[in-house]
Amino acid sequence: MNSTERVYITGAGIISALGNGIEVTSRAISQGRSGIESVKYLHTSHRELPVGEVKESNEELSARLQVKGEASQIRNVLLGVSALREAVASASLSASDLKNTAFINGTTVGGMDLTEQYFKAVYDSGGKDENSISVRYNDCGISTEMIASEVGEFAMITTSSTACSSGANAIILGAEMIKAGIIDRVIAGGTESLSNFHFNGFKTLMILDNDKCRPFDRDRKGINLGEGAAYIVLESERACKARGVKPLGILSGYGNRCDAFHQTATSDDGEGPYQSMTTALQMASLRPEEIDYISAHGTGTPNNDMTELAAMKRIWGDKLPYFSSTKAMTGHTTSASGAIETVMSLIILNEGIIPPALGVINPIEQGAMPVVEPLKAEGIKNIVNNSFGFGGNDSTLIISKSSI
Amino acid sequence: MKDKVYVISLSQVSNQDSSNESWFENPEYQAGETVVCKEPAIKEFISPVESRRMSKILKRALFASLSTLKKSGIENPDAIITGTGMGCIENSEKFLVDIINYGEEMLKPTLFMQSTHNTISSVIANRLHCHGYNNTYSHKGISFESALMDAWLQLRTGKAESVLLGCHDEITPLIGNVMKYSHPAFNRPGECSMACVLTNKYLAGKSICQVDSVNIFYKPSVDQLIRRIEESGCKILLTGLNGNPDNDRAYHEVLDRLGPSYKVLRYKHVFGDSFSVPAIGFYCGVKIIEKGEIPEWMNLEGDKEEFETPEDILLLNYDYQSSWGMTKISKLRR
Repeated sequence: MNSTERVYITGAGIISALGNGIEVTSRAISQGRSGIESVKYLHTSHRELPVGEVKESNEELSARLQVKGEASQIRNVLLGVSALREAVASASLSASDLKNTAFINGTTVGGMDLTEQYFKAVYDSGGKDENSISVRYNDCGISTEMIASEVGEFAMITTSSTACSSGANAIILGAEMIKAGIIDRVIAGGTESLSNFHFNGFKTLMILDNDKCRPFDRDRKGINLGEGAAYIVLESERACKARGVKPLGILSGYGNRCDAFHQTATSDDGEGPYQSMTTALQMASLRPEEIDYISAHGTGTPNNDMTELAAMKRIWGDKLPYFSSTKAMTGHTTSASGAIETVMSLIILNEGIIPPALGVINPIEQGAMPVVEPLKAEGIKNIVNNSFGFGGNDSTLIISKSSI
Repeated sequence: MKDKVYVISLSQVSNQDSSNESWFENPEYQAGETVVCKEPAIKEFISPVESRRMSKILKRALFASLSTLKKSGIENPDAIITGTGMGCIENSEKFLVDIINYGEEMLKPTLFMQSTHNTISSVIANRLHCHGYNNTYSHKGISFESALMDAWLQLRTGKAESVLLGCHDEITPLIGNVMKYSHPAFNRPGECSMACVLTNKYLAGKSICQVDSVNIFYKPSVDQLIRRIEESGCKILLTGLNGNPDNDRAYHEVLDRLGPSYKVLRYKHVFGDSFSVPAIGFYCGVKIIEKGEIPEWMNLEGDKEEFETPEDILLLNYDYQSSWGMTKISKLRR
């Protein structure tokens, strides 16, 4: 086992409220465009709450992706298939390459969007009628396998589920497997569609903003939920060289730590985020001042942004690097967010444009002004990408420019 | 790179007593269409106030975790890693039922807060104030192997010296019925919790056995499985045979082509089927190595070969129409 093995990123796929694919997402970043609008597809009575929906219905998605059967009814799966296919194509992986590839998906909602449609019938029958089969799809693992089966044969498949850091943790497991020499290639990331279940769940916590969210604004009111999927292709140096591919970036460090404070609230001192960021910096052998941009978790809740900033200040003091949260563009894509923001980080590294924290009028505090307009910034080498989940599941990925 | 992974302690909550290990010699057979847990005496670890705020799975998981940590003498592990198939399904079900009954108003935040799969790991971390690595895997019948693989990697790379590994699933009356439709390859749907402490250092008087390897294969060929079993060098196979032909067919395709010198063991006829029951299989395997004997109840296939002292066991776990988990455990070799 060579734990100094570098882990390269050789492909990426993404779909979110900003649209489908890397190119569309890249344009949205340079335009500072938001995909957050009023509810169009989700079956909810709370039409007043803005959301970051992918602007395709299940019918449109399944027609575009040519997905049939049960998979065509599960939005989580459809979004995953869209992003996974793009990732495979962008890394130029063949069907036989996939047979030596692991697929690690992060999701929490799973097939809940399907289960909840049938749940009344299941409940009314006491679980004794055939609609009960639908509960099978309320399983994170099933949606992962359904996504995989639309794309190819994989050597190994599993699913991480740590709420809003699921996608980041899937990427961490993939990198660990490559470093340990278990496998040379892993596709990892996350997918999450909106479901009535978690949309209402977040509403009960009273952390949804009735207007467009404003991460890192002094008067921020909460989250706009979003949906989407993103995956990256991770490869060992050996596999990169064997295939002769040029990496999009390096996963140079990562950290997973627990805030161990509260099930849904975050600590005042940001111990969990502080430890996840410092662990990642140590692993990447980077000094704090070598970080050019922080892609913050920045959900827009008073609690999260305060905690995250407290942790950032413990590391960078008053000399914060450029930072912003893209959640005012995509909405909070929960389990997919770590992966979506990793793909956005790759775009930022390669295009040199930092996305804005939209909606910020007054900064969260004096001297902590996020980037508020798309910012042309040459020479970005290292990006810190934070994902924090319920239960204090805090993870940080560091995405760096590749030298090969 | 640390070269070995050791099992230090285990605890379980299932249809067997959680306070002792007499089930290993003489398990109780529970009648009924589903297999349900005997609730453990949680008072030692969980106050009545805490208990009232927790669903069944959280109480059992916290009990199993704190009880195995106590046995291990490790107060605060470096990492907490959990596998769960359905997660906090009781709370999820209640939240869905409330949506049916009350619509999208007046819903209870606690049910949602304690519905995500990672609630289990985080409740344990909050209780221990453990800031270490914390992860949760939810992948059907290989949730346990997924969590074990991560634990194994954390220990082998030295990122953690001790890991609290758990695997937990609960059923409700509704889910028990549903599973007959949704998971027809199960025999009797059940529920269980298992927690154990793993380290990468040998601890005299505490280390019970080694975990040599953990593998997950997605839809492997029979040839590939046979090759992997032969390569493991293990002659004792602790399997997930459950008596349901839909499930067992895949095992027989492999087992029938192996030579006669293998001993095939099973445990699901006692513990029932759940996504987490492979973790109980792991517990059974560790006990076989610790005690140096195979209890008669696991040996339903009839003897093919006698093993005076079982030294290496391969845990074979088939997730219907999908993955195979293969975990090799062995006696301490220093």
